[in-house]
Amino acid sequence: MTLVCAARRSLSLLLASAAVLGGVPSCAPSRGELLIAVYTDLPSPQLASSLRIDVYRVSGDIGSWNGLIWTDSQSFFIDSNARFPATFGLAISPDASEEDYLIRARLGPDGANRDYQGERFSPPMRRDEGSLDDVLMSPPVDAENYPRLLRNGVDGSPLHEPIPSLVVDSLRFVRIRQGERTQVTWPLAGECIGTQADLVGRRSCVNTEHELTTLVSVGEDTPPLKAGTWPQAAGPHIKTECDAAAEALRRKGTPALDGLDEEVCVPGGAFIYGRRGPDDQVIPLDALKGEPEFPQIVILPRFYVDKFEYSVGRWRASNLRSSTMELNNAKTLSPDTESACTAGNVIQRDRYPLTCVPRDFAQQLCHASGGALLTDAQWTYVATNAFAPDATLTPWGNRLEISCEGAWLSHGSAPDTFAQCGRPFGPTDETVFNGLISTPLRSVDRNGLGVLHLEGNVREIVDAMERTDGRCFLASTRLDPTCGRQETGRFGTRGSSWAAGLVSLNRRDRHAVDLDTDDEVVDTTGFRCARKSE
Amino acid sequence: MKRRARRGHAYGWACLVGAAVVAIAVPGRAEDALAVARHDFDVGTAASREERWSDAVVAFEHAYAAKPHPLTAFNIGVCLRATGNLLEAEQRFHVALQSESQLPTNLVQDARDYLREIPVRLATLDLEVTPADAVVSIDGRSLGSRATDAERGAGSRALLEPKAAPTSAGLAADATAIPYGKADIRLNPGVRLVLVRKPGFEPTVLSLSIGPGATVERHVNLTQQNARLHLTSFPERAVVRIDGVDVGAAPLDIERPSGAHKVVLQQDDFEPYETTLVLSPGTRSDLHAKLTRRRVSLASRWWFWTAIGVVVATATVTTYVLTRPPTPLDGGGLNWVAGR
Repeated sequence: MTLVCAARRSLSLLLASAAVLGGVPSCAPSRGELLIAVYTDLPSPQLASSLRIDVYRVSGDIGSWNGLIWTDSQSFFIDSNARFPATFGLAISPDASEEDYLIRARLGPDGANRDYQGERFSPPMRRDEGSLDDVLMSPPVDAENYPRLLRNGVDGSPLHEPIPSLVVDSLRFVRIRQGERTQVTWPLAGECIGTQADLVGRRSCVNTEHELTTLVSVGEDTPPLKAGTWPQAAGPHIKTECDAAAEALRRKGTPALDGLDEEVCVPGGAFIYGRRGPDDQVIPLDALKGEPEFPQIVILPRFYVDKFEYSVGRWRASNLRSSTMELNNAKTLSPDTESACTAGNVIQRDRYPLTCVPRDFAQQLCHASGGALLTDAQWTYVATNAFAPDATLTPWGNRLEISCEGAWLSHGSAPDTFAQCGRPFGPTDETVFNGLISTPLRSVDRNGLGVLHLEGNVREIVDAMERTDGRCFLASTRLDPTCGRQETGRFGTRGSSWAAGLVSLNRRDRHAVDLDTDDEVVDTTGFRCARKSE
Repeated sequence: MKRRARRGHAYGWACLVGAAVVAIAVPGRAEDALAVARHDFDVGTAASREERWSDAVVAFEHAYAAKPHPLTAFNIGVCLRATGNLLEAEQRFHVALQSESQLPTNLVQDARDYLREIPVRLATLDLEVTPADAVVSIDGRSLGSRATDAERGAGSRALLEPKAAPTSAGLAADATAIPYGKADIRLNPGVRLVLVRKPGFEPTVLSLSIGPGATVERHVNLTQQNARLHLTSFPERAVVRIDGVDVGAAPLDIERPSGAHKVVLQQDDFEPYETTLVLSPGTRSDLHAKLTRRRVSLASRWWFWTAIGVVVATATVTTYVLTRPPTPLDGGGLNWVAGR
């Protein structure tokens, strides 16, 4: 055989061997590894835009905290439903044959953080389980419950942690063996929002609010969740869309009342109710104002809301006259009077918002039309366009400034510190909105659905007034929560009035009024009604 | 016819007279030879009388061999002439006239008459042969020169005629080659077989029918003869290639044109046998090639290189496996591996 032939034959065999070797599966990875796929039914980015992962190695070694050594932590920003499942890996130590890990996942809106001050667990508590005073709002800082993340001996603990009331907080126990590569799916159900995980007790919520379950071990296979289906297709299964059925039941406006009883359908949804974080814009004027300190996720089904404030004309047509109210409204509304109660008989102001009305009577009037006063959550939801993907600071958007042409504010005997828009004194209706202003401009004080005067004109009575410490809503269910007078001992008003200045304008403006005060009946306060949609 | 018969009788009587004279003149111990000669002479005479010319020639040749005498030679010439062998007869007559003093005067005259007649009656073959220096035989008789080179002159045609004795199958040692390839050959008229030969060339045979006194021209181009080669090898069945062409496996017989030829014999596991043979036309060459067993190097073995490749591949894979970096950890869509 020639040398060329020999070379050809040997090369052919070598190539054949290489082809066979190439098809041989690669060797098992040198390190044990676990691939974790996180699923959720929360909508992203509205309620699920930040995923925080903390990894603890189960160990009784010196320096461990409750049998855990905090080994790693990472936060991820997620901007759409399509990013789920979100997957990451966990590798065993190279020199270990087997290790157990406790993984904590917290999924919630971006920026909803508080300062990390150790592990501060608040056990879930229902309202009927005790008084609101028993609700542990913020456990004290405990030096013994202060796990730290050490990286090469240096404290690398994150400075912030997610606000428990706004996130799904879940724990998972996994075991990794050297040389093995496995996968697990990890569902973070929207129903678990606000149910804080118990790291010490190794418990977390699985799919039921306020219920903690012992850790799910690796190997259990749960069906994956589909992002964006909560709370419509998953969870409360609320109706959110203002569809044809809802439109058919909407009150279109009575011609005899000049259509001032018209309703607007508000789409349902879940939103963040309360202060999101320390940097959130708040312009408190006094101690009673301000966002509830502990924000939470609130779910509202679709409902109807009055497009205008409850008018004098509606009151006259309701056959619910109150002698007390007539007494209070005896004064004639005139530019020279200091009272702007609109229910008097001297001047017909049927198109004006009904003012100087007791809260209870306002509730009766709403009941008579099939509705009720708005809850504080509903009023916030409508005034901030929270039904839309991007909630706003004011009904008309994120611009806090407003001109006299845009809203009925700062009229009458306002304090000197506020800019005055001039007379006439008192609230207005649609037709005289522009009042003395020469330039005819339509009001911009309307939200995305066209609901008018949420900020200006008159303050509006709401049914619930959250305690400043937020315990009422925190202890209630997130679906259409309400904290009535019996729980809080007060009622509240939302929005600004024709007498308030522009500087007081902010979405969280609240004015709490004690039930026993004379402030119950004022000429700067009106109301509107909401009605459930079936 | 009558004249020929009368002449024949006259010859017979002449032979008898010649015999008597011979008997009287030969003395002595030579008496035995003489007796033999006389006896054969008588036999020849009797044969000639009966016109048995061939027998008479034989007898007279015997008699001449025993006792040369010009009369005997004359008789031989007469008998040969009668049989149409004019060239041989001419030669005998010349011999007889060399001792014409021993011949009767009339026989002398007859001999001279014959010698004048014979050339007229001879045929001539003008032969031109290519290549030159071919040897020609007529009826098995080689040719001899009739004239010297000086007489002929350089470059002129050779003057040849068959010699007396027929040649054997092979060429006579004294066969004369036709120089310059051109010759005028005197022939006895009749049917003649001309054989033209030259070593290394295919012999050419011409069958000619030539009348008395006629001249025939012939040009012969000899075809060069192939050489024959007989090849054997050890071990047998070696593949034979001559001038790069496979011609078969040894042993084999093959013809090739004359000249130098490269012969290669090959056999698996043996070194090739190469040689250059110079073959002569018409010759046979024998070649026995003894092949030398090849010292096979490992480098020519396919399995050697395959083994080398396997060893190298194994070493490479082993080294890689032992030193390769660990399999990259999977960070998933978030591109993060906790505890990395």
